[in-house]
Amino acid sequence: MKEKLNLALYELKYAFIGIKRHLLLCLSAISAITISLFLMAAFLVVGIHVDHFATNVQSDLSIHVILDQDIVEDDQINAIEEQIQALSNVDSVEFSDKENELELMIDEKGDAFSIYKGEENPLSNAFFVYVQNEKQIQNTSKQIEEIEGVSSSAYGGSSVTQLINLLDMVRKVGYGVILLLLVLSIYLIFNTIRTTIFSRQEEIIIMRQVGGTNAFIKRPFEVQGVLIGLFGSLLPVAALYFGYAKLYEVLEGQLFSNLFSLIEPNQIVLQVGLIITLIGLLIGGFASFWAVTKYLKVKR
Amino acid sequence: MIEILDVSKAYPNGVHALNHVKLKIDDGEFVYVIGATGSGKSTLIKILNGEIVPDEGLVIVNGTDVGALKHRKVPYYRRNIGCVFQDYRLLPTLTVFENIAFALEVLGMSKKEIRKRVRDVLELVDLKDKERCYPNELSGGQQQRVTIGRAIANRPQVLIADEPTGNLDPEKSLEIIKLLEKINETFNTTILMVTHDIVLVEKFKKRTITLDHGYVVHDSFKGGYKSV
Repeated sequence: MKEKLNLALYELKYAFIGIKRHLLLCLSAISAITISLFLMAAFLVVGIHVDHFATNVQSDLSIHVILDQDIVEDDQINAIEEQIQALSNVDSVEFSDKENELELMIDEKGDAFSIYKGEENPLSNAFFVYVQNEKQIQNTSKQIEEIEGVSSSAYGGSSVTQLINLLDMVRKVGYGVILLLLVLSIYLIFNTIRTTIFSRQEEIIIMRQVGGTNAFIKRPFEVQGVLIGLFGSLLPVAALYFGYAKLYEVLEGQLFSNLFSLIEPNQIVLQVGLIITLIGLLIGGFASFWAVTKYLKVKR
Repeated sequence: MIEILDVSKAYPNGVHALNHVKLKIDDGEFVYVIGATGSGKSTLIKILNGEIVPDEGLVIVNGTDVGALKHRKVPYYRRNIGCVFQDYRLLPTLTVFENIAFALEVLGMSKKEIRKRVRDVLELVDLKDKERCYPNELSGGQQQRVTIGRAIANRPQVLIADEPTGNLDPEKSLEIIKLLEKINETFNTTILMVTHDIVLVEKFKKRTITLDHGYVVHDSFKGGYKSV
């Protein structure tokens, strides 16, 4: 028991000695990891936003269902709402009475329409229907139109369908680029650490020669790998923390319009920061493990 | 005790490094192994410290069948076999003290005990004032003494030395051989020393095994080069 504790302490000691006495080597590994993680953080921020924008735009899409003029009773309205809700692609239905419709019209077209307020209101009651799958919006709109009591339904026409398709494509390309970059960064980090350990191959062989077991030799390298990964992720996380907050502030939380609202800094820093730190740690540790295991087996 | 029973080893390139070698070395013996380059001396050492496995035959060191050891078990075996190399093989980023301590730390020995052991060893190899130096700050002879110190720190029953004086001038070689003799006498350690150094073999006469093209051509208990 005591021996095991001693061994663990010595292993930890060698992890730190390894960093201290191979400082330049470790620093170069750390800087390589810093650069990869920095790039990855940047692309993740962009990628997450593309996804966010696409989702935003799509979730804003709704079908405007205008009811017949004579549908005024609650019973009738509820019956139609139930029928709409029963359609497979419908996510939620929002009722908008004719006063609200008028308000929306005034908002959109100007105060001149205020004269219709009150008994004179020529508009009908309506629904806003939100769908689950935006690509099916056209079909759903047609289905709703066939319901008795519905006067018309509109979703914005073919330009909306095109926008949806475009956003879907952008999203897919974004995912692809991030994935590619992820693989590239992992490979880069992996190689850096492997090279670091390669230069110490001779030491590994000597350690075995004087009675160091595989585990005793391996663990300090693994701890070092994890620490190098951790140190390598510090700077990118800090850059993300300060940089993104600044960007958010300068752009006032949105890009061009409120449709492209930026994600809260806290959320992004947490998400992306966690991802890149984890990648640094895991790849650092795993690459070390893999490389030492390989060099341990070079000689018997 | 070291028993080498009908051991043969050939390399993939077709060289027969050892051919049916039979040797028995008793506890506490001091033995030279001599022979020209390519005679199989290094192969013999590598088989003894478990680095390579013989094609045929058995190598039994203190009851351990060395050739049958699994890869991960080899380090445990080596803890009882001290090894000294021509090229020292010290860990370059550890000090003299730490290099010797390493061989004890792998055993899980306590810090206090290690400090005492290393001090004793440093005294024995006469490097007390160099304990904080790194290997590259030492001369060849000093480095070799560190290696010997590391090899005997765990008080192994067997010490294998592969041309320990190969890179040293005659004066330093003398120092090393005297140190090995001291270890042999003090701890009754079995010592097997591969060497090229005719002068040493002549001067410090001991059992001398001569290898030639992988065969044991002579095994003289009288010792000395001329007896061959």
